[in-house]
Amino acid sequence: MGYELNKQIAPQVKQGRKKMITQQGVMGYIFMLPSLVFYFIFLLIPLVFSLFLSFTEWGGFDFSLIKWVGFKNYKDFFFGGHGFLYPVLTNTLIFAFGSVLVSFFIALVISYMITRLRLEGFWRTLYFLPMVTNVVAVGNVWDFMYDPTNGLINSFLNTLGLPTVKFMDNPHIALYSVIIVAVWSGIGSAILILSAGLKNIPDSYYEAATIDGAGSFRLFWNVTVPLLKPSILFVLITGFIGGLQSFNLILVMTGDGGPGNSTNVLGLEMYNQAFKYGQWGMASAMAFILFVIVLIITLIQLRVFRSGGVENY
Amino acid sequence: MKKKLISITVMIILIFALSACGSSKDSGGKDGKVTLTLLTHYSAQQEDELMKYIKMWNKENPNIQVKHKSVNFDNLLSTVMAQQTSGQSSDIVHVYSLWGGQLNQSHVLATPPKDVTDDIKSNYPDAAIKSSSVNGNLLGYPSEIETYALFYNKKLLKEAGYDSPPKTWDEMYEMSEKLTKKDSKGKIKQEGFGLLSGWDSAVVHPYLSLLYTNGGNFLSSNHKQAELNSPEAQQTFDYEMKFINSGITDRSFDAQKGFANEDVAMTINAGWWLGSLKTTMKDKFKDVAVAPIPSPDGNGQGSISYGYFYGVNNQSKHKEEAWKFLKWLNSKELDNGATGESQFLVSQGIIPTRNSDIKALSKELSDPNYKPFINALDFAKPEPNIFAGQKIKTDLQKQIEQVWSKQTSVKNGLNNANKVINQELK
Amino acid sequence: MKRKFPWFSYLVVIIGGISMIVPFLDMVFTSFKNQKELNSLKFSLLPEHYHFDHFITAFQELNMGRLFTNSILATLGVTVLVLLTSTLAGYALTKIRFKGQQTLFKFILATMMFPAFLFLIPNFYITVHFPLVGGNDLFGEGGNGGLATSVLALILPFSVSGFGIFLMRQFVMTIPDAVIEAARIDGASEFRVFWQLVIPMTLPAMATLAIFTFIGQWNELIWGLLIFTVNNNLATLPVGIQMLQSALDPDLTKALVSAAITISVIPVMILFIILQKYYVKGMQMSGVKE
Repeated sequence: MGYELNKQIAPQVKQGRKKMITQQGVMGYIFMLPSLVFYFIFLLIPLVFSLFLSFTEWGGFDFSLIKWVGFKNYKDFFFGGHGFLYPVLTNTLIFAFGSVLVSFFIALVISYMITRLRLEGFWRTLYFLPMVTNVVAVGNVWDFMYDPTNGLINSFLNTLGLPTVKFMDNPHIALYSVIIVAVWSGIGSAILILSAGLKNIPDSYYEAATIDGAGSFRLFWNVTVPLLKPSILFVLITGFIGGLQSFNLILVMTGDGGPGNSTNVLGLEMYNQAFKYGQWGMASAMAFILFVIVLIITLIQLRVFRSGGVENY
Repeated sequence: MKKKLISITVMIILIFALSACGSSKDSGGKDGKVTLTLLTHYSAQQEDELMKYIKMWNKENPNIQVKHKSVNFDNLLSTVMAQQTSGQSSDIVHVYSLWGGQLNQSHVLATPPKDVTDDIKSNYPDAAIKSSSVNGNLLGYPSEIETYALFYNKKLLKEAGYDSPPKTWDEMYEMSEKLTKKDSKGKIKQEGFGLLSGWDSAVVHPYLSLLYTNGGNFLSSNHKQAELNSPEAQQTFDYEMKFINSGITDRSFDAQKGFANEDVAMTINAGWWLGSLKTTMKDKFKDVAVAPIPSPDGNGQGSISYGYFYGVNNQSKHKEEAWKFLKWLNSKELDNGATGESQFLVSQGIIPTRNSDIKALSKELSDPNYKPFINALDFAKPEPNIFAGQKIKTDLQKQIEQVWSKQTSVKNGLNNANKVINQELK
Repeated sequence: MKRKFPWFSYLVVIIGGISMIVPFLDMVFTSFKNQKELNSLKFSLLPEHYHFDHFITAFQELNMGRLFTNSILATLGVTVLVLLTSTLAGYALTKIRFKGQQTLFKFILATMMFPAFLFLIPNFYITVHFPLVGGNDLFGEGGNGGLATSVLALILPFSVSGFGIFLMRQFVMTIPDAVIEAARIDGASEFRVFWQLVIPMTLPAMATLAIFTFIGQWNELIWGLLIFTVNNNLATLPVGIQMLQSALDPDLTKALVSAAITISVIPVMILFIILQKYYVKGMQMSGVKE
């Protein structure tokens, strides 16, 4: 990927061409202008406003009713006994780790296998299908399939002589049932990125290893995985950033994070705090806490990979 | 080349600017003509009925035209709040009584004029007045009031040898046991007693109704304290759990659908359900009957009540006209002596609340199935519509669901609910 | 390279493939079932008889035409703007030297990590109170919904993407500095360098970015729900289907929702199957590589 934060980014411009440099400087801002304008309006202003809101109590639309409460929302989050830490935060982590890691491993195996098969394009297309299907569609279709009375999956299990599983009604299973759906729908984009990475590994590497007598598992482990590291890091980092925030699927499939709180995640709780209970301050505080969590997990991944030898991601 | 880039950019901007001009709304008001928007959660089929009366008004009042807009119930509150934010608010909103506190706190609703409050205070039952007031201040016209009762299927009861519905908790349990049928693998084919689930009221309201028959309470009378740690609350929940533990009630069996499908013999639900059962069950509807909710010894009474009311938006530029329309809809007696609102409600199988309407429509309301709901108006306890109303309802719902699915014991569940709710009430 | 027949790979890929396709089959067949079959306690994949009425109802009730138009306009708008802003920024961040470049880039990276929810409410305010559009005055008051009077409300808040800038920066970086320097020395303006040199060389990366943006935006739900509350005319496909759930008779909904989903999913799916070859290639060329 060739990405390194510390490296000097700009091209080295020859000395003695001062005029060009200043002119270029202005041009830089001009090229950045569209991005900066949009960032300012739709990102920076909202960010500052949300940060401010997280220290207030506010029911929603009348600015005159904003009440400053200091760190109360943050304190409440950690010590208020609202169940935000457990089960909501733990659910968020389980959901993110479960859906990202499982879909990554499956995607890694499948994309490796696909490159060795005939009709490569056909197989790949199959796995891409969920990617272009919107989340409302995915959630509903799986809800139908999970139905304990006349859903596809349970009648399949029953034919095999297995008992009915209450996928969405059993609080010990519900979160994992949603994770399965997240994996199903997320596998496509992981395969897309990983197969692109696989295609960029020259055949000669494999040939050399095969001559050395490596079996296909060792080939995979010793040749493919190391060379694929940048793609892997990319899949994991973007996956976690998305997975930790995501609640669309849970909103569609369970409506309220039920049964009980068993599928409730931070994203959904924020949404409800704001739109259902009129607690905008708490909702904003939660968003910042979530940001810090995402940041920490991302930094850990970067560090792990850097120590594992991916120098320049 | 520079030119080309610029021209493409300009074109893109133009395209979007053009599409921006596409829609513009008519706000009216220039020629003395006022257009009011009315926001409700009524479905398309219900809308057709309601429109009859709106059209009647629009014909009589060419200068105050009313337009109806509808969103589904799940999105009603967030729509009201979001519209408020944008200055796009509807002039009249039809809202759930539970939200009264929240809407009041955010100054969404306008105070009704004196003629309206006088009319309401002298013509509606107490339960209706309470559910459309916050801190004793009326917020709008009560429209529908719902109470809870026991729905049962006469045919299924007869098959099991019963001619009348249960009166006591023990009777209800024994009958449910007999009415439950399972296949050889133990999968439920017919459920004796079903518990609704899927949304907050479905989980919370039947429990609270049973609790009231047992002499218990949800909150203290001043709404400052939860009373879910009482022995009554524990008994009531133990009673609900008896059905689940013995396998009579299967939580993953959709009781709402199942009842309409004649797979569920008994369940507790609100009066509006009659109307929807009538449409879905067609000729099988004749077997549906309603009875008061059984109490422990057969002498107690209990039900929760909730309702809707029409309020006028504080931001509306035409408050006066809006109240005029609402007063007409809710108090003007039409040809048969009943108001437009009440005729709309009755057409949906919903019981109207205005005293005079219940009299004027006595023929339409003579159906014995309506009686338990009307009678319950006398003793039903209104859902507390305080600021945290929605929050504490969700808290209780989550705890009940956790107990139902055996993640925690009845005692812990109720204690947790009590603790969390007390925190919100502070 | 000699290999024996990879039967194990075939087995795994086929089983996986089946589980990918089965939900779609179930969805399509469900939409043909009638109420009796849906209420039956026994499952069967194929319907007894094929009923087409749900498709007709879905078209009428949902106003599918408008949902499609909104979704397509919004998605294309976002894709075009994201490509524009990302490519310009990607070029500026790598090939032009200016003050604050490093800080700016770190800031952009950080934006990727903020939960989208943070921006939801403030952006909603900004959108509906946008000055001088939708009848608003200079202070954003008095109009009938600001940007939310048009499809712009579904586009502008998404018009710049940290991910997009990051991706384009990575790719532009691979263009040798010498090529650009040469053009500059020949007297080409920055715009010309960008337009004639950089754009053609980054096309594969742009294609990849376009696909990711398109997919992401096509599936967007939460913002759409919010905008829908102030302007019902702006419902996108996901919003429209989400609204269908509780709006109709609970027994019929399953078939109707399936029909609506089928209508919304199939055209895009066909499009992507046709384009499949190109975007894998684009992905491969663009960039997630060393």
